[in-house]
Amino acid sequence: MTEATPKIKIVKGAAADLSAATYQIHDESHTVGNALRWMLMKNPKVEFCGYRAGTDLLCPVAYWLLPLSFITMITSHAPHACAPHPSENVINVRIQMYGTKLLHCPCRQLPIICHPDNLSSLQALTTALSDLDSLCETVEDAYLTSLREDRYERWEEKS
Amino acid sequence: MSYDARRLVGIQSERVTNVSSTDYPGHYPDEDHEWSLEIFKKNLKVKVQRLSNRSIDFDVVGVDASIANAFRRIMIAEVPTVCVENVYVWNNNSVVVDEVLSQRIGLIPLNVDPDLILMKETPTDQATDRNTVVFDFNLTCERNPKGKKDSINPDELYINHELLSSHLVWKPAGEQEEVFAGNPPAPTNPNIVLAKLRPGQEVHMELHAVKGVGKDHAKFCPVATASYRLLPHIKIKKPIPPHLGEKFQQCFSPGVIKIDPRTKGVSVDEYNVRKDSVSREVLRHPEFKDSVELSRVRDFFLFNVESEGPYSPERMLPEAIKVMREKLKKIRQAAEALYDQVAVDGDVTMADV
Repeated sequence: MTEATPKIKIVKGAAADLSAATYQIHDESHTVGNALRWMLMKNPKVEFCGYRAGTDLLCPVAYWLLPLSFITMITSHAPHACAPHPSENVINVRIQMYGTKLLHCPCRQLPIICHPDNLSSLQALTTALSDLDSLCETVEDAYLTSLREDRYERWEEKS
Repeated sequence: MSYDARRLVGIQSERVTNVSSTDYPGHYPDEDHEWSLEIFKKNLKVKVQRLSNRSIDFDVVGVDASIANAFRRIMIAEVPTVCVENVYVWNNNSVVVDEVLSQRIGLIPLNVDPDLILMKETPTDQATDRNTVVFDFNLTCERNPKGKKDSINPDELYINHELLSSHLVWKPAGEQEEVFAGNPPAPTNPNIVLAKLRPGQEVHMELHAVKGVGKDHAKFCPVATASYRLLPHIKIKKPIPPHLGEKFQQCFSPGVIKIDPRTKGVSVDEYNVRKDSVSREVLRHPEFKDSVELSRVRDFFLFNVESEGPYSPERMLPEAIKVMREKLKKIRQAAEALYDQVAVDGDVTMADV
């Protein structure tokens, strides 16, 4: 892996204040994606969190917001961007924080998303990562304690 | 033993119920399910049940499926091991062609402790004594001059007629002699037959073993199996009539249902209930239909891990957690860097993906 690929990218279409954003994490899969999604969902400030393995420009949320004709237009013009290829080694994590206001842009039908909290989804992501780390540490400690102190059956297995 | 109804995944004859976990903030009114390390610590139970030289059974209670699954996936695909990756063939006139023989050699589990070796950054990196272990593989089959003429046993007729994993000869390079002093690199199983030879056939190769992970190639997978299942839970709702006790017992795996020899009372064995296969056989019989409720405990994971390779089975979970924490650290550093960058510039840079 070269340094040229950043570990995390913010996918196009995020709110300017990052109150709602999709993060593309490079070289990760369901292993981290699902655990991270669970931890983010344990955060009461998170309204929505979902992840997809494989690149997809349009996260599920964007699909809900966009008119159907727009999606068909994009999918037909840039199929590579919409259909996630399973071989692509990335996950997209979508995080939306509570308090997001939907405003409608006067010139277009698309809503603009804005939020008073600055960088809240990125903060939620960082918190979730450190919480997951302390969870892992706790499980490891409990396991090692059991291995050391508990009584369990020992047996010889023939190979 | 009874469990909170929310912890149970219902099992009916043709469907499962209450499959998803609901312990999220906002799911139940007036209930806070925010992440709390204290509550997690209090509810977490990890207990080793059985340990052998090759496998381990342990329970992890009180974690979400996504966490248990992350550990399982890492044990299979991301805990590193050392395997033969490059094979340089000087001579091979056996009936097994070079590429097939090389593939077989790659699959030999080696006893090399992966902590003692660095992973190559790219496959084309220069091989050094820090990232490569070299083996010599050299065997020539000959006719046994002392063998009986009329024998049909190849062991008597020929010398070296089987190319075995034990024929790998480690070639220490640089500082490796000291690094591997306690445990010289060798296959974990010396009896793997890689090819059969006949007089005049010869295999002469140089093997380069490197560190890798199971998601790159299955040969790097340190476990034979790593799996979990949920603890079965059987609730007898109304007493089973004594004359049906044995029939009821037969519906479950051996040891799961106890019958009191004196009173003929039927009950579930608290410990052995984990042995049940949850075949749902009991639900096929109309006489038992309303007397029993089957379920599994959503956050009670019974892990079984069979180690194959350099790690002893009890080391597998700590190694998986180590890998997991390393991944989390890397992502967190990237997220913090991103945060700093956005906070300073006041501008979000979005990638063109």
